[in-house]
Amino acid sequence: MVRDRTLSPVARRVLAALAEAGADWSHGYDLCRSAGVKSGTLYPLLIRLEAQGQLEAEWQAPVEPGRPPRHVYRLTARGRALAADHPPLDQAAPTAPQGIPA
Amino acid sequence: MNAWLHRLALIIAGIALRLLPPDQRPWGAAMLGELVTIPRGGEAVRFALGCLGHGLRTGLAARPLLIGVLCAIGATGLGLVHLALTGAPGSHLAINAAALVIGLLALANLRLLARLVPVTADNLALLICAMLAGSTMLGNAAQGAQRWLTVGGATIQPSLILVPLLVCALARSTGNRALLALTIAAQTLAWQPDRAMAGALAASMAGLFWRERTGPRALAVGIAISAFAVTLVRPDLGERVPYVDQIVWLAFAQHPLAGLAVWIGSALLLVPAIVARPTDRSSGLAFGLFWGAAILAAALGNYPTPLVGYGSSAVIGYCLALLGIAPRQSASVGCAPTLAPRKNERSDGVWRRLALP
Repeated sequence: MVRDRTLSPVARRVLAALAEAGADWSHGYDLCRSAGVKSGTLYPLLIRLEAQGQLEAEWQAPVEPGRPPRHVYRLTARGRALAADHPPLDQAAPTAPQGIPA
Repeated sequence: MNAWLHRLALIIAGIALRLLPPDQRPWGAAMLGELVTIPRGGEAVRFALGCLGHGLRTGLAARPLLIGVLCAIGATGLGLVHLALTGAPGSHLAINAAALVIGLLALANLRLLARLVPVTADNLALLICAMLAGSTMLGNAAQGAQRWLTVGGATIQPSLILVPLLVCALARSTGNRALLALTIAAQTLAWQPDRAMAGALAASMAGLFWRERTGPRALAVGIAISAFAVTLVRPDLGERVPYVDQIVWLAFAQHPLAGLAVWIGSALLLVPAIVARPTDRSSGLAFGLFWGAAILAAALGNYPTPLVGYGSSAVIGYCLALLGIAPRQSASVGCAPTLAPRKNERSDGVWRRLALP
């Protein structure tokens, strides 16, 4: 279960990668590369997001003959809200105060 | 070389797909579909290995009974290694091996019987507690305790066979009849007395209460703990039996490999609890706590070390207890959410039609 309080740094990165694609469909391998996660981490996450209605998934017809159809993903409105609420941690971390200006 | 690596990646991802439970196979096909787009063979293999990891985790979680049976076989096998290395009589090895066969056959028969004659957890608990009380009354007294029974020349400890199964039934029911059965069983263990089994029963009831903070669960833990307290107060005069008691420590002194076999075998006993956890948390927890407490009791006192030590009762009891972590007949197997193929989606046999880049 992807709960708000337990969103891991990896989950946040995947959400960010999906959010960046917007209405475009993303592929599994591309998500692995852009979010910097392993396939064994990505797919369980996608499965959970899809089950919670935060991700749309569908099969896309092959672009070249002889190739298999590909499974593609994009965030739903709920997923986009989740991604907006949980940016990657390096972005979300508050900047340390640099001192009080004189 | 690149093509070979791609073929290897396809094989690995194919295995991952087969490991996944049926409701997740479309996702396995999705993973396979990605392989053809990965230009470098090494990268494709790494991607496929990640998928295999997911397949193993999910696939094993969906098959807790299979894992349990493998752990029973593994732990009993390691027990035989321990017995052989420490010079136990050949009859000890034969009895443990025979107990494994009997236990697995009994498990298969009970599974079959459960399909033919549906028995509720309440009624099963009552039946078990009646058998436990009856066998104790008919049993042999030795060293200040009455917890053994001679059947056909062999001495068995009925509580080690019946109490694990009782815990399975109690994990699934908190009805009045289940509580009555628990009360009778706990009092029987206190009367015997059997500190190890009473402690294991209390540990599993405490685990169930931790999972479900309800009145019946609180009552159950109270009954089990009070029985355990009685066994602690009563004198325990049992002497150490070679190859049975305290081998967790003593096996290492006799042979390092024997000690290792005992430790690894004991750890294996707890694996089904971890595997079953996602599908049935209560049963998995009760199972794990029961056997963990039994191992701890064997390490601390003169009580049988389950499966890895000599003794047929624990082997049979463990096999029967696997019923508790088996997926329920009416429940859907697997914990993962589904990806049901939608209209116009193609998910079957995709992996068969993959073309290498």
